[in-house]
Amino acid sequence: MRVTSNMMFSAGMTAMQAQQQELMQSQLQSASGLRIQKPSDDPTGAFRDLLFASDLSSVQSLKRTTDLASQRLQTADKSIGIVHDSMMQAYELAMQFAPGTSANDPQVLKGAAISALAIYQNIMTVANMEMDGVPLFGGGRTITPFDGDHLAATSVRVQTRGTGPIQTAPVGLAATVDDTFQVPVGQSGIGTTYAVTPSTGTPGGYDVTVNGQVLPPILPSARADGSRYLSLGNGVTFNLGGTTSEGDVLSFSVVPDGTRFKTTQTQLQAEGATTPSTVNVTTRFSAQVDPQRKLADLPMSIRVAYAATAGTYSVDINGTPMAPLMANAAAPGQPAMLDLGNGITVNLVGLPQDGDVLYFEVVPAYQGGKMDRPIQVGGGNTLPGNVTGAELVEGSGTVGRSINILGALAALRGALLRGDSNEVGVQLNRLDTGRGQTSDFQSLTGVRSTQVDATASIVATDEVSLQTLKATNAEADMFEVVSRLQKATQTMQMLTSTERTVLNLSLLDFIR
Amino acid sequence: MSVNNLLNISESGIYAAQNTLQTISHNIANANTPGFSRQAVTLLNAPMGLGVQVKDISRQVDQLLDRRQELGTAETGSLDVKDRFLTQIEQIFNESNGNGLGSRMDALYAAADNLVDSPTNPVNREQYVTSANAVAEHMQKMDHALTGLLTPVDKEVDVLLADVNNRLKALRDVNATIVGSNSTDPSSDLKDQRRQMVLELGKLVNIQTLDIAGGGLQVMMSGGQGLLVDTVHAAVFSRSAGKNAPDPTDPTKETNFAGITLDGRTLTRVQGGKLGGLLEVRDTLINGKNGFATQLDTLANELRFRLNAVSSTGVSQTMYTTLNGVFGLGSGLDTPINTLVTDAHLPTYGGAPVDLSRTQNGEIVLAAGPDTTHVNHIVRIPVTRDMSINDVVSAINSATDQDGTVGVVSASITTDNKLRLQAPVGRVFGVASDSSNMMAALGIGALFGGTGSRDMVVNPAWQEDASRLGVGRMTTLFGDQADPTRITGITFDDGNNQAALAVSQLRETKFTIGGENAPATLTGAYAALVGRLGAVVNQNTESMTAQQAAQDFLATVRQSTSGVSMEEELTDLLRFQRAFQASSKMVSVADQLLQYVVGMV
Repeated sequence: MRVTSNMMFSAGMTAMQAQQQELMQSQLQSASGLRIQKPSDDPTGAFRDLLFASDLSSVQSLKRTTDLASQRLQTADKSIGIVHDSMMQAYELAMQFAPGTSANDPQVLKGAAISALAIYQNIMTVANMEMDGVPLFGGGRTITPFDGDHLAATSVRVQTRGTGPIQTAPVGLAATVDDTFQVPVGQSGIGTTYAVTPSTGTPGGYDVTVNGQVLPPILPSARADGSRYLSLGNGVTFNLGGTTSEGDVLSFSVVPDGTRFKTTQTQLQAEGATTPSTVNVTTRFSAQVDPQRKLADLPMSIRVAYAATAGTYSVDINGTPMAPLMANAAAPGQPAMLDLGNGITVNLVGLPQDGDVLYFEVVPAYQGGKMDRPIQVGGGNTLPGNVTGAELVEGSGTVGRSINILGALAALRGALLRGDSNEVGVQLNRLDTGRGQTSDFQSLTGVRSTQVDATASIVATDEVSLQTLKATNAEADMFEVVSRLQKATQTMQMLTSTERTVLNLSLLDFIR
Repeated sequence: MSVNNLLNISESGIYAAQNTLQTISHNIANANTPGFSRQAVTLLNAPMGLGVQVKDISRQVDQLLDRRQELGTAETGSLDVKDRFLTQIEQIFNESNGNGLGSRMDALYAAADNLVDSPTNPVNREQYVTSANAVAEHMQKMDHALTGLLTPVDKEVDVLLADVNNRLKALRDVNATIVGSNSTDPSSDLKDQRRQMVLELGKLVNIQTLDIAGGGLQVMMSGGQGLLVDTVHAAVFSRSAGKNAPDPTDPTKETNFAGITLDGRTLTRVQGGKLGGLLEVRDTLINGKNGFATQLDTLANELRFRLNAVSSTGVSQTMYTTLNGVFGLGSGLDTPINTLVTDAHLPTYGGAPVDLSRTQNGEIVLAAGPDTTHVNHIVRIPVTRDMSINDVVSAINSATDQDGTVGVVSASITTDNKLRLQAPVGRVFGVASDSSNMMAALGIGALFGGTGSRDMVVNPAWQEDASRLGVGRMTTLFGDQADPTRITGITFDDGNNQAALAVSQLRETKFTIGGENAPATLTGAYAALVGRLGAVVNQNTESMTAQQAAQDFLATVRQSTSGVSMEEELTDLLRFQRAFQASSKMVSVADQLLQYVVGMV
């Protein structure tokens, strides 16, 4: 092949450019530490790098949120422990002043109410605790979970005297209502309450009251199949498919069912007991409080005692008796109602018996988010990342025992303020259940915390793996870079040296 | 033989040596002239023993090699241009600085995770909106950077066509000179010049050449269109008056650029050369069915729709008294939705929200009440794709709640042509569910507005007040055994994080994006887009390297044949210098002989 000096120049230039490119590549890689500077350096590697980066960002984000949730749950766990200890103290306080103990002097009891209030306030403080400026038990909301500006009345509990506890009547003692039922004039709404009791004045007959108004005694009728029933008029029939005894009170209500009506299950209050029964939550009575009302003496424990002979209700709020009240008659659309003033009312769906005592409390209502806040743990799965005040304090949710522990403490304080050791005694069961509720929630929080911790641990491992994968994929192997740099440098030196010799050689130097 | 013959022979020797020395001098002078072909003097012994004669001075060329070199230049020109622009496109998609679109999308998801953790935290809400803004702004920036290349590319086409026209004229003139020349000497250099012009022209447009009798050269485009068929007419490239350049990726479409004509006839396809490369960059790599701007736009549309579908059923802490759609509704308010033009790139596009193409027959459920804890009015609105936008507005206005009440939520079209939902005084409302995607398509509660990557924005309402952002969702209750489809109630807990959770879960949800075979997550689709770009750049670079190597090889081989070797020329210089000296000596000897003869007289 014929060789010209231009060919040699070109070959030299091409070789030098190739080496310079190699040097530049090594320089870039050593400066940035990255093997992939731009997508074309390794298209598949760039694709993988972006996926790894996305996965890593996801894992780091999950790590951050699971860490936060873990801290939150751990703090909640400790705080619930404090609530649990406080409930234990309250229970011990109630035990200390329950009937049969030595310390049942009313004045001493009133003094002990200070301790009950301190426990209540301690739990309020814990329930409103914040972490990073966000309420710990506020659900998803940032507002204070419990304060005196938003009140609620607890469910009413009744202690019956002279009669047995309310229980579900046998199946055969059931009422029916047909489409001819007309709501009593001027009344609609919650329901029309019927009470049926074997008549003492009319043998074989039954005394019936409708919304507290007494009807003339009714004698049973018989059907062709021999079954007996009472025709209460207005489309309402009461089947006597069971035995009734003198003194039994059978009660039910007719309530709306869409555009029609239905009867509620019959309740039986059997006569017999002579001592006060235990205190039970009842659906016959309900208390309300204007949620926006500002009340000074929170928490309130309200005790309402019924005297049938006078038809009056004795009301005591936090140990301060009020003048006896009469119930308002069933108003249009409303059942009979007791107005305690200050926005507090009690609905009476069915009359209490003589000597019955109703208890309820007015305490701050939970204002936080009601739902557990699920946090993302990857793969589309979620875990509860908090415990709400509704679950812990008001006993809502699946694990709760439906005890409003603020209400229980208010009731204890009220009983102590009233200096009534018997009343203190009847709070024991509720306080114990409340203590169990906090214990349950502490366990639940521990489980949630463990789950989140386990996830956080997995996520941390994933983070390390992804960082390793990403580094392996996109980062430069420095040993390789330095080796290539060394090789390119040496090649360049050899090349320049060779080119100098080759290209300098010319016949011109030998011609004179 | 006479002494005169001796002188004549010596003269022919001197003449031949002079010619050769002149050629050597010419070769040495042009040793570094691009395209110069070494010339050689062909000597012939004169008949009858009368010395030497110069037969011709010829170019040392290999015609086949030259033709191969010409053919490769178009590919080199095309690859060079593509490399220049692909480098810029690659820079737009470069993620190595950790601040690209992928990182911003990841940051948006991370902000959603923070919202999930603490949905009412105002800092988290601001961060979410800011992250969404960063995505939208970067989308716009990328789109502007990509489409911003189109105008320079198209201008470069204009400049290049003018250059080609000038070169064709010059080539025509040189060709005419060569054909009209009777002298061999100048034509050799002209032929070199013409060849160099052909090579330069070949870099600009893909051409083929054909030698014709008389030393002439015909030049054609690779498609056969004549550029230079005789020595009189050189074809002229120009641009069409209208924007009618065909879309090479979709024969049914035209691009938004003027076409190219050759002597008034429209060229439907131009490949190779810088011109072909520029058109490929413009119509295939940036625009076109699979162009990178188109792919980015497709990703932006998917991202916008998916996030809007989630946020349209999101509810803020206080619910809403008014919600304005983020999209303009266009001019076809009475046109059935299923016949509206929703491709914003089509000339017939009338401004309708582009996501209306994603709607389906379904039901919108709105819920309202005096406050967030008493959501006691439920409105169910069946909508179909054969309804118009005005029909949807009427359907909302005439819908009744469970008690038969009308006007629970009213709909209207604002003066700036956007949908507005409004609750009566004293009520708040929210979108409980929307199986039709109509609310998202009309921009109610939407996170992103715009028609693609070029104008993607975050809903101004959220930018002004991030507390209005819908982070939670209402809970719809069923439970009527007689009618399981009956909604028995709707509740809302303002600490709810379900909408934020749904955004967070989008990170791992796969969609079929832009007709791709395999479903991918949004970030996965972007990663694939970047990977594809890298592959295209890589392929072009490798082709360019291979093409350059081939061209270098051909240049080397040509140098071997046509290049000037200094050593060779200097050797010849010595040789013919001696020949000249020898012939001169012969003249001197003949002169001495003649003097001797004359002296004898």
